[in-house]
Amino acid sequence: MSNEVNLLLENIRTGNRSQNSEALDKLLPIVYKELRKLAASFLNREHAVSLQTTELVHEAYFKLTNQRSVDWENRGQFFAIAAQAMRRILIDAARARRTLKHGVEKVSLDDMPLITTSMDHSLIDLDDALKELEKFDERQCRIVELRYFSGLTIEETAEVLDISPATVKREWAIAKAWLFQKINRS
Amino acid sequence: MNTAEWLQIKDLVSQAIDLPDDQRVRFLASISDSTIRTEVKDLLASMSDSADFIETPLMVELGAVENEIVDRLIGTTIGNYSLLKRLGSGGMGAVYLAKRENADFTQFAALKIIKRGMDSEAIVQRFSNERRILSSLKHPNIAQLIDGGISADGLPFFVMEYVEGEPLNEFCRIHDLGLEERLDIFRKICSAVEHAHKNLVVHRDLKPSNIIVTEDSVPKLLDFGIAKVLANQETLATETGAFGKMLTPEYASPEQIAGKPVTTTSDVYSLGVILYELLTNQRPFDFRGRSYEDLIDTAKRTEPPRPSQTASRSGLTSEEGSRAFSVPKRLLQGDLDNIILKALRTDPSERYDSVRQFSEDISRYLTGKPVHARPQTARYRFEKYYMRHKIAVLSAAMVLISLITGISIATWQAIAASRERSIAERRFREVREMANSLMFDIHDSIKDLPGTTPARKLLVEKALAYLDQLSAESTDDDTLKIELANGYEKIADVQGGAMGSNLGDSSGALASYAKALAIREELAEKSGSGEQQYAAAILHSKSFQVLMLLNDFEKAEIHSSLSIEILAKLTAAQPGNSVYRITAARFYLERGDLLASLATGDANLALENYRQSIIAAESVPENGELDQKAADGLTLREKILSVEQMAYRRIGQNAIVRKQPEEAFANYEKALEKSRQLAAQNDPPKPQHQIVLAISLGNLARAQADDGDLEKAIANAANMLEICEKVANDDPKNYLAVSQLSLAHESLGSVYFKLRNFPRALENLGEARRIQEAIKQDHPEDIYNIGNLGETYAFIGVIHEELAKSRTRRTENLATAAGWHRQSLDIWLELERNGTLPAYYGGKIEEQRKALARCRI
Repeated sequence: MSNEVNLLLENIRTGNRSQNSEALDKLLPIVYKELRKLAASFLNREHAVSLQTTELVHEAYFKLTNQRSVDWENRGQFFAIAAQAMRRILIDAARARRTLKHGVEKVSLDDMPLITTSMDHSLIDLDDALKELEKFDERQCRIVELRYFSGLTIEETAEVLDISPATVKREWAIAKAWLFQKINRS
Repeated sequence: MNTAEWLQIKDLVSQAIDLPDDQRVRFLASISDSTIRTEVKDLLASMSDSADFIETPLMVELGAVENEIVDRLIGTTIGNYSLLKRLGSGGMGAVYLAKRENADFTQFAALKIIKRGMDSEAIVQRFSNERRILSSLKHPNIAQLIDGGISADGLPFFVMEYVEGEPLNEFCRIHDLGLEERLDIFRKICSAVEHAHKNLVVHRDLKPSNIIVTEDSVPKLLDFGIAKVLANQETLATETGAFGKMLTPEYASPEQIAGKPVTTTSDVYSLGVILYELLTNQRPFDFRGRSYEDLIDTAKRTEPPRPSQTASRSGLTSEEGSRAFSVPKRLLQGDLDNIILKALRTDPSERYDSVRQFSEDISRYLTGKPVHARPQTARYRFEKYYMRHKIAVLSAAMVLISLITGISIATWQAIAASRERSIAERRFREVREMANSLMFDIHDSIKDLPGTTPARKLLVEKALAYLDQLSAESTDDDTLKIELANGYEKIADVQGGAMGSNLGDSSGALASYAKALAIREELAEKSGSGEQQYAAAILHSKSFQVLMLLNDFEKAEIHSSLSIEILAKLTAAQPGNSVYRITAARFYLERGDLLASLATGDANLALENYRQSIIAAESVPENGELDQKAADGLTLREKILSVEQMAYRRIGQNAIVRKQPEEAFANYEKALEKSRQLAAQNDPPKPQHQIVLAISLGNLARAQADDGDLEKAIANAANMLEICEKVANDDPKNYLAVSQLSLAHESLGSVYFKLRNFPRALENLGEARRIQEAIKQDHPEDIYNIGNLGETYAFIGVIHEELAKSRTRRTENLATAAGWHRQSLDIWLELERNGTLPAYYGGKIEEQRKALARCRI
């Protein structure tokens, strides 16, 4: 039953640091691709079919791991990766549209989520600020991804990162304050 | 910034968040590194601004996702149930409307199943825990477990009774339930929770959205998702893991929020919050946008505001004129306040021991029996307050209080020792001074400062204890006795006197007036002094006024007749005493108002007293004394004129009720004449005298309008409006001016009505209504305003009836008219229910019922 994704997830969980980051590098594009496909198909349907972000990620998980129920320990890893992937999908879409608007480069938008463009600017600012934050607080960056891009609750975020909900709550508040200030200052 | 610096900043921010403002400032100042200090400061400042920032997940924000999802399960069959639609979804599971069919019957049920991907061991365990708990509970107000099992996908599910209805608050709002109906439903909820407790189950997540009320007003308790079985009544700590924090903070008890052991009294607290919201439309605490730590802090240290205080803030009228429900402040004051606050005590041991006790106390309230809940003592509240504002209170009151009590204890010790008599006597004098002047100087100097109420209460408590001690010791020293009586009277004024700002302790005030009265009576009997008798009469009158505010007319009647009796004797003994005569005139007037207010009152007797009042006032001999200002800043002439105009007005009003327009005119003209004289006493006229003049103009205008003299009526009403607007503009807090402004609009509206200018009439009456509704919110105890509002509603109804006659949109206007008459009827019924419907409004209920019948289409 193990497929490539399962194997990579297992590696991330059990492996050493270098194996870990290698597996991550391989896994991210796979998850990214799947999520992007799923997101585009869900979001572009004619009759506003909608779903929760977490369920989108679940769908991706089931597809990629070819499992019927969740291997709980690997699920956390998957969610963390999926959150990064979601961030990239949404930010890429925003950047692509902005590029398109300026007519600099032609980008295929065929399978990009068709979302409103009014937020593109602030999304890109947020992404930039997150990159800055990641330099000195990677965990806060993960929390923001899980909460904002993947739509996880405080409790779910706590489970994925294996920390207490109180910690998530506190870190989330501080991260938001810092990002808010960063974006509004620049 | 590097990681080490950031860690330090985060740590400092986390510490600073929990601090109260003043300590936070000091904490920040203590950070030596200025770069870090700035960063911490900025982050803290940004914290509140960013409360909502990126709080909504991006996909939701983009409108791309909603809560309703594409659900693979809909249309499939689980167990014997086919899933029809999704009813709701939480983080871990979802609930579906499901149907089971066979040849004989179709059964609808609610099926709860763990979401795919959420079936971790912990969740599965929690899920089966809920199922087990539900299977142990059988109660008409708890959704019944029907079935359960494992789906083909391997996911656990269970099936419950499907409850069709509305969530608690929604149900009460839609059906516009009144106080008693709400309490009845609430008691049924209590019985469900009680049943759970008997089965050793603590619900832990009681909230209105977990209570569905069916069409037949049967509440059903749902979602025992985080309920817990208590083994052998032991208490248990909330888990520290993810589930422990899944509770809803608004309804959770302080111990739950703090992660401390939870018992059945935690459910009592949640029920208290539910009842609070049910009756005031607001929750005791507003947790929106607050951090978790802040929340713990609030719940631990703060007592919620009394429901009656909250009630006056809520229940605002929306544009459509519909009203968010809130029980009138007056009904909440006292028992209901005490009951709810007892359930909401921070310390679980101070709450009701059981849900049954809580529910029974409500039952006692409903049946008019004394309830067990008692307000917290002033001392207790002071201690709470003291904990929070140590420094401020210390400097403002504690020092002074310790000074006073310190001296008094020293004094008594000195006297008891019987040595150094002269020192003891000197100290004794000091204490007397303290009680008679210093205590009140302190009180007066702090009474207008915000937040000093607890200190003032403590001051009163101390002063009272001191006076009691002094009066127990007092010998034959009449001067001391007079001082004591003065002291009690002053304290009573502060506690709850009818005039001026007070501490709202009416029963305390009455007790203190009674003590003063006892001393005065003793002195009067001993010396036969007119001065002491007069002072006693004034005390009767003050007690009377407090009782009138409490609508306790029976006891008020006793004080009223005693005060008149005394004054009659005094006037007979000293016919030339102007003060006695004018005071007698005032007492007759007060008695007339009392008799008019009594549901069983005799209108003729009231009239008789008003006439007596005029006779007494007119009998004051003209002399130079009349224009000298008394201690209250008023001359005797002003007092005479104001009693006279009021008495004439009352007779005029009485004549209107008796349908004697000529008599009404004559008396209203007299009232107006006296009011003009009164206003002319000062240049510029005093605001209160201008209001009196406006009132007199209004009375006349309305009578003239009724009589068909529309030109004069419009002139008088416009004049009244002008005066009220000016006074209200000069001082928007002038409650009387604002109240009269509404009546001016009403008068003017009534004249336009006669002129058949309905749009203008509606405009003025709409204005009157808005003002009166606002006053009703702020002063629900003002039954005169409520009466005015009832009349305004009725009048607007009548105008719409007229519109229905002359316009094409007959049905629509009749329906609107019926709506207003309904509102009017509700007002009269409410007054009647509360026993505060004045006699002169007696016919109103019948009148509005008839109006409603007229409007039937």
